[in-house]
Amino acid sequence: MTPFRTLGARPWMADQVRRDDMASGRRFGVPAQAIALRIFLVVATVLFSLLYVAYATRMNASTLSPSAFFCSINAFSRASSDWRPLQEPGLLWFNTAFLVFCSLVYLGADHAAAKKNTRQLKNAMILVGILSISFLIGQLLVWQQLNAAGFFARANPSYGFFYMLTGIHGLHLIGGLVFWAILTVRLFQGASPHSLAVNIRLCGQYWHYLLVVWVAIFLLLLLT
Amino acid sequence: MAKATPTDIDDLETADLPEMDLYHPKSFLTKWVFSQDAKVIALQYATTATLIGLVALVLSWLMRLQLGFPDSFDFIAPTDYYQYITMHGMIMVIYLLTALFLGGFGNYLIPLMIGARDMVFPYMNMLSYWIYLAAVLLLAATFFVPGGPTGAGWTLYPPQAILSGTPGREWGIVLMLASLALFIVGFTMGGLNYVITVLQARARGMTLMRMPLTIWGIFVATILALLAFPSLFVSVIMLLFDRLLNTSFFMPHIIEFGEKLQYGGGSPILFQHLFWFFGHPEVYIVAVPAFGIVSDLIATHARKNIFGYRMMVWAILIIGLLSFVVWAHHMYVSGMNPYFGFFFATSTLIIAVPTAIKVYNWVLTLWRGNIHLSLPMLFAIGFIITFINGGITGLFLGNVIVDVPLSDTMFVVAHFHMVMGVAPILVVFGAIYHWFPLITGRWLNQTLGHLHFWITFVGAYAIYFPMHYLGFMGVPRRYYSLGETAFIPDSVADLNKFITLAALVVGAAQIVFIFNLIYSIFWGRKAERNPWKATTLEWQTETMPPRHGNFGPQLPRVYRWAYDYSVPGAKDDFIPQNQPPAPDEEAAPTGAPPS
Ligand code: HEM
Ligand SMILES: [Cu+2]
Repeated sequence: MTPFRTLGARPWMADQVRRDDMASGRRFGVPAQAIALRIFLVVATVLFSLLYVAYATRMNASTLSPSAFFCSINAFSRASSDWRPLQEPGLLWFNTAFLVFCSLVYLGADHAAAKKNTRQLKNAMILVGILSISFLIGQLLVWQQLNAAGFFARANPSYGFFYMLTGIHGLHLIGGLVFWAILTVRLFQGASPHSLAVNIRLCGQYWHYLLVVWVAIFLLLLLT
Repeated sequence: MAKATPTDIDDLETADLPEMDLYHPKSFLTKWVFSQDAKVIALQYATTATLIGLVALVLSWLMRLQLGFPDSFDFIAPTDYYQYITMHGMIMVIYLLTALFLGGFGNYLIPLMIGARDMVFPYMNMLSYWIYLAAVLLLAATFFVPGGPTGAGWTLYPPQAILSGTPGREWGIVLMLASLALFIVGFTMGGLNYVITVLQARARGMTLMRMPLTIWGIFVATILALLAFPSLFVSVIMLLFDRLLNTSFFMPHIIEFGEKLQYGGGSPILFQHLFWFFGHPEVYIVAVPAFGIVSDLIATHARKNIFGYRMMVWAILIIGLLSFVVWAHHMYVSGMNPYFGFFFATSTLIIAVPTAIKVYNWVLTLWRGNIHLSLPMLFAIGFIITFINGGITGLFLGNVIVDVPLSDTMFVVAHFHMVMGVAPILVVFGAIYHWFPLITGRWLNQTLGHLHFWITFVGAYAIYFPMHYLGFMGVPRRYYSLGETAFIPDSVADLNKFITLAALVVGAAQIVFIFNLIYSIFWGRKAERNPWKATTLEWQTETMPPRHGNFGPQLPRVYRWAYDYSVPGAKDDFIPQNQPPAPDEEAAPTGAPPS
């Protein structure tokens, strides 16, 4: 049903009443947690988009052009006087690789869950954990490297944004790890791969999403 | 008659839904403290919000005392005054109204009104409350930290919010920002729950377009909040960075006491954009649930189907959509690009159209209705009148040329108190008088209730009508005292005294109300089942108050929309939503005009 037809219904009319009486009361034929994830991803996308906008705005903001807000299209070409581009530490490439591998492993996990291959699924989940935590440690190392080189958040807005973007992205990953931990514990307690398949697929989708967000952030940092 | 369309995707699926596995509380602790029952969580939300709201009420008395009788109260220093206004505003808007409408009414009413046993994710729902409580405690803690709460104003504008001249610069602002971030995290958990419960857990036969408007209001407001709070989150985190790590996201070059601060190059206007991109939808996050609730109060207490149900749903949706493109009407004097003013004035005025449609429909519902002047109805009528007043001053302020001289005056304070202070609070009261018998099985004392209504309603006008006038006189907002100001006549002082007295009386009436609540929970007159003869499902539960799990062994089945009042030919003047059609009943009642 399209939303427009839903909203066009006249619930008081005889023929509509007959149809409505049969409705099941569910809008979507998928599990609730799948919808929860989608909606959450929309919310997170709003959050990261706003961070993007803030980045672009601050980049070409100066006290003289307060209207920079709507000029952010030009943001990538015109840097204001106090903006110093970030020197991206090479370690970030490694961290990116960790996340890419995570996503690949999740594809394998889906496969294993579908084939009811418990051993393979356990391995995959453990690997996801290791890779994700490596990513987080890698990000912390980057923070430390920058700090040691004298570039803490206050060095320049670009560094401030770097710490903030990576921090918020990392917190989202940690949130994901909570769900990962619950699933992994259940798996090792003997839950069947079949019963966990849906949730593992959703977890995977969340990791794919965080990979996309990370690539978007990384590109933004590289290009500016 | 139009061709019928099914209103849900899987409307032809006939198999019964699997019952959701319900969580079963075993001990006192899991039943009343760490409860996962939406009804208990609702009461926890409501109690917490009310308690912190009382703090905000007391702060408003202190502010009014200072404004009415400057120089008389030694214990109110200018810095104290700033702290009062900040905490008052922030508590009222976020921690009271948002939490009460969505966390309180949302939790209580969504499962009951759509015929579900509970929220879809009860555990997350519980977490949501505990995070909210932590946010409230953090906020309250700022009263006790060195330097006290922040005095930045509820809008927290940088640069002044984090400069040393602003009270609470050390701790207050940091805790405030942390508390807001927590609030947002907690709300997001609850909000996901409300949305998914409405989408996926309705009883059989309860299509979206059969839902009571209360649920539509809460549903749309929740979506607005989910999309708007990230903006507040971003501004809060960035401001926290500026404050704690000395970044310059928002902070421009500043010289303070002859000394150049290490900030530079940031954009304070960026903060304002982020804040109001959240802030304007926020006013509708509060207003839209009130719209929904008031529609149901009016239909029930005028024994009429709501006029133009579909239009009401559409208007809520359109208002929600438009509320994201009007934010900069709060920034006409900020120094943003002047051309933006044109766009935002236009969009602001357009939003008045769906709003006006709603008002017409409420009035037309009352027209020739069988109006019972019960307390909920009185409050509902009070809401309509007040909302019209506040909406009209909004139209004034939406025009750049009118707003420029009026912004930062008492006129703005009068506008937003009418429209988002008094109006929604009247709905909250109406809703409490309406649903109290359901929640407790007892009546609130009606005499005290009438006293409460009339003092609050008349008193609110005594407070805010003169305030418009003060604004026209040029009395600025957020001033500790006016001092010797040539353009402000002496009569302003008298008016200020009058307003203060009215405010104290209205405040006292709220204490009477709180007393009534507590007294009636224990000693109120016992209420019979479905005392208002309402059609909606929450009144059709086996027991009143509804037990854990809401409904009996069988979930209700829904056979009609929520507004079958005074259907011609029917035995009673209402037909509950779960009552099957009588054998001789034309499958559809004909209470509503075709539209
Ligand atoms: C027809 C509808 C409305 C219009 C045209 C309108 C317009 C405006 C404008 C232009 C301002 C800025 C005034 C200034 O700062 O100079 C304003 C302030 C405000 N409005 Fe409205 N408004 C409307 C409805 C509402 C509603 C429904 C609410 C809440 C439920 C609301 C709450 C507020 C608040 C809280 C402020 C002040 C914020 C602050 O500066 O602290 N308004 N309104
Ligand atoms: Cu606004």
